[in-house]
Amino acid sequence: MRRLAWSALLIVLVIFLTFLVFYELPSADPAQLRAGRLATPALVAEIREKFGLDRPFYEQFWIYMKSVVTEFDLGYSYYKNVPVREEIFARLPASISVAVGAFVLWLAIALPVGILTALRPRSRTDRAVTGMTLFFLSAPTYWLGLVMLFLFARDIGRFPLVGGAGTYVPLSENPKAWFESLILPWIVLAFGFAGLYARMIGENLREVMALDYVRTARAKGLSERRVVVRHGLRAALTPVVTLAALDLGFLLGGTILVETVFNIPGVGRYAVEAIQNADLPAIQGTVLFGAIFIIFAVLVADILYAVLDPRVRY
Amino acid sequence: MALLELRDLEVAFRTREGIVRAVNDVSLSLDRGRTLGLVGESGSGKTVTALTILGLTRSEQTEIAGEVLLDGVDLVTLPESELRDLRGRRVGMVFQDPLSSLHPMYRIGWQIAEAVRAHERVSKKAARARAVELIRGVGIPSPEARVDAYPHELSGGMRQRVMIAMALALDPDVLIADEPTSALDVTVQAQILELLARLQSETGMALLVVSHDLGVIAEHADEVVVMYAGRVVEQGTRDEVIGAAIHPYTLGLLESIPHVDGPRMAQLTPIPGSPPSAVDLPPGCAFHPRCTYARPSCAELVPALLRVGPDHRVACPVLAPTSPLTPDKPRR
Amino acid sequence: MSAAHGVPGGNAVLSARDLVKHYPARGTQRQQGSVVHAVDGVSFDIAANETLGLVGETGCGKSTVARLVTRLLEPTSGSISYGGQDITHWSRRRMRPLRREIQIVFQDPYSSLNPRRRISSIVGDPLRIHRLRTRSERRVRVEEVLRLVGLDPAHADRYPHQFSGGQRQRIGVARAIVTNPRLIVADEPVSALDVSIQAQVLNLIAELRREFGLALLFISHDVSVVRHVSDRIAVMYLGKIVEVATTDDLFSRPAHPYTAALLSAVPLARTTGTPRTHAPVIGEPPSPLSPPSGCRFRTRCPYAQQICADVEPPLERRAGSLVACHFPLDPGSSS
Repeated sequence: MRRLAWSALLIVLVIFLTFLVFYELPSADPAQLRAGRLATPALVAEIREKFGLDRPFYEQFWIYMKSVVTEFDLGYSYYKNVPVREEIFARLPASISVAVGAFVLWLAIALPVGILTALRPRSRTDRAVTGMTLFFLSAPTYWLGLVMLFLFARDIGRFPLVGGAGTYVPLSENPKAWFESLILPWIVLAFGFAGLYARMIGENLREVMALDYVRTARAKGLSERRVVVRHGLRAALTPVVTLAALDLGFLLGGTILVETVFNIPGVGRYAVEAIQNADLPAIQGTVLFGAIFIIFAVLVADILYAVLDPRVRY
Repeated sequence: MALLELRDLEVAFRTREGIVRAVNDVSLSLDRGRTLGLVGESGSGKTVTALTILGLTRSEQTEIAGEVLLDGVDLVTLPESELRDLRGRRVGMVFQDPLSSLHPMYRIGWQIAEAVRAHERVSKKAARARAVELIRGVGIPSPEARVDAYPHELSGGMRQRVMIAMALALDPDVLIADEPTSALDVTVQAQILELLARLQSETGMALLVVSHDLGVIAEHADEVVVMYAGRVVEQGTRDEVIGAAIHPYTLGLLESIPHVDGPRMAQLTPIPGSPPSAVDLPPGCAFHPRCTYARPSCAELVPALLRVGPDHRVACPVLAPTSPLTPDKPRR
Repeated sequence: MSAAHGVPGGNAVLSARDLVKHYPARGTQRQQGSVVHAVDGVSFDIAANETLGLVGETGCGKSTVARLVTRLLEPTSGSISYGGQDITHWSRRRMRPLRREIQIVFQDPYSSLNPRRRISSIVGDPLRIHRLRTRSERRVRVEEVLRLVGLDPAHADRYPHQFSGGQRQRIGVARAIVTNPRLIVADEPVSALDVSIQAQVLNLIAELRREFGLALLFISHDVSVVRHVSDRIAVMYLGKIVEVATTDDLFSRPAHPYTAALLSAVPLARTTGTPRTHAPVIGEPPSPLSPPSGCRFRTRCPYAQQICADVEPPLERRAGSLVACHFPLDPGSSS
């Protein structure tokens, strides 16, 4: 209960800080933007009044918070004059597709590779994983995305295998096209994480396998497979699971670079557009969503840890 | 034929610092219903010896030579799958620190039941019922409730009882207890040792107790093997080794411990120096740099175990009585 | 009062009176307002040139006592006097000059020495901190102390990892005596050492004590070790002292049933006499979160009666020693 209260407070704080940044350091006058190129000062003033932009900072913040809390109303986009909430909801499936797909892919790679490197330290696999991790982690996402497109995209690629940028189709419409349009972004996102997680799983497992209780498990006469899976992995994966929940939360909050490179209509790209247009309600909305995902992920991670490790109690 | 017999066991680990010869030429034997105490300080090779019996030291970096005979079957050359079948079923093991030796994330009943199910085709329910009975058998109160406890919810003594219950789940012929009471307080130690003695008299199992504590060994072992720097320096019955020790190292150990009774000494008689590093053992008798009886010849030859009594053997040509001096076995 | 705790004439170097230390419970056992009764009313004196042994099992509070009397921990209540002055509430700054007179030797010779520093600077540290002597004089003193604890002064510029466990504990002792302290608190100083090495360090401590007339609070779980070094011994159980006696009295006529159990539980490294068949006491110490009412040992005591649960026995003088028991053992009845 206390943790939930803290989480709520944290979200308010995040909103407050975004407010502060964009009100106190305006890059452009929102009223001016909203009024358009041929605006008369009277129109600008009218808009300013209508959106409450002439009110003091704290009042604006209060009005915004009230509508968020009472009806989850995120306001209207200055730029397009549509509800921000609907805009974000419309883009969520794409973002979730990117994040969850990448998550599944990275765990599917990391788990077996991690186990392999733990059981055969300093082997060729071990070294290969280290190299791959370094490459995918140090390569800028933007660059890596473009390389992928130039290699495999159907429109501009050397080996035209899958859909390129801007080919995103919702899963409900055409699963095959959905998959093909997302496989490259998934790879770009997943490989870096996969390497990192493989190493983390590998290192954890290697440490656990040297512990006394693993020796006990062997002394009981269990098969090596059971020793590794039920005794080694059980302990080695517990911290990894909680970290994975966190990382998934971050990804769900919007994968700005990948969505931009691959031109996927997700929340991340929406955030970029919002910033470019000084569309404050939209910026607020995306930040709020990101914060909710991350804070929720932290909560889930903590609960998972307590569920997985009986020594931890809240 | 003895139930368990070690013949010239050697264990060496390849490490970055060089080859660690942890165990050299260790021979001992143990019969049903008997207790053998393996005593030595840290680095003496006693724990490696105990672990090697069940092949728990096997790895790509380990070289194991010699024989470990269980009812005449050599376990050193046994394939892993067959050896695994013996672990827990014919030979059980209890370790030093019961908290780290139990898996922290599983209930104790589950862990005991797992040992049962590793060797017998029984239902989960039946295995759990067995676990409850085993927990009762090692003197844990209200076993039906404790079966669902996690290790961290139990006291140190209770955890070690759980370890013992788990090791005895399949009624093994041999129980190897590696420093079973070293992590426990002395009043709890007494309870655990009493429990082991009771269980031994009930089941007739053979007990191998590894300990650094001469007191524990003296009170509970029928036969005693003293190890130093990976080798046996003295072995025999309890009365021979503890009561009539000959080897300077055994004597040194006995004299360096303070006692709870008898006259208080102003000074203890410590063994000078410190134990050698396992990668850089002194030539000849590894104890000679610390030995007050050492002669120049002690630095040249590894002394053979000499028979000095019915079961009494000592690896010291200086202090062993000169007649009848029969080399027990040639040594490298 | 001080006479009741064993030092005649009130010339105690260190006096502890009714020391109490309660912690809020942590971790898995956290409940609202529950408290760990680590130390619950402990009093004792140590005279100059005297060694008081403090013995007890895991969790009895003996290490907390060590940290309380050296002012590393703030007591919940009670007082600590050093050389007749009440130092219980002295500020860190005011304590500073006392730090060279009160030194500590820790249990673990591996983690208590900074691995990146040469032993000359580890041992010389207390001198440097207290700005005692010049640099060259300090060097001379360090070498002198190293020689005193049986280390080769030529090795002064080596690092801790180049020494064995026993040698490291000698370094710990050297660091403690370099300022010529009046009181040393040794918390399990030999517990991490092998028996052959343990004897070396015990002899060293005994020698230094004889030579310099130190007051020594020697804390250990091992009754035979405590017996070897102590003049008097205080036995602790679950945060309380249950018996204080001279070493010979304690071992020949233990009065508290817990003391008797502790002594007879130690296995003897000899073949004479019949081996014990029964453990002297049942069970394990209860949690310090909820100590039993009355006498804290009653849940394991073979002589416990109703009164033991109702009335907490005070630590009272009885035939030369102090005992906290309603039914102390008769002299001679214990084996």
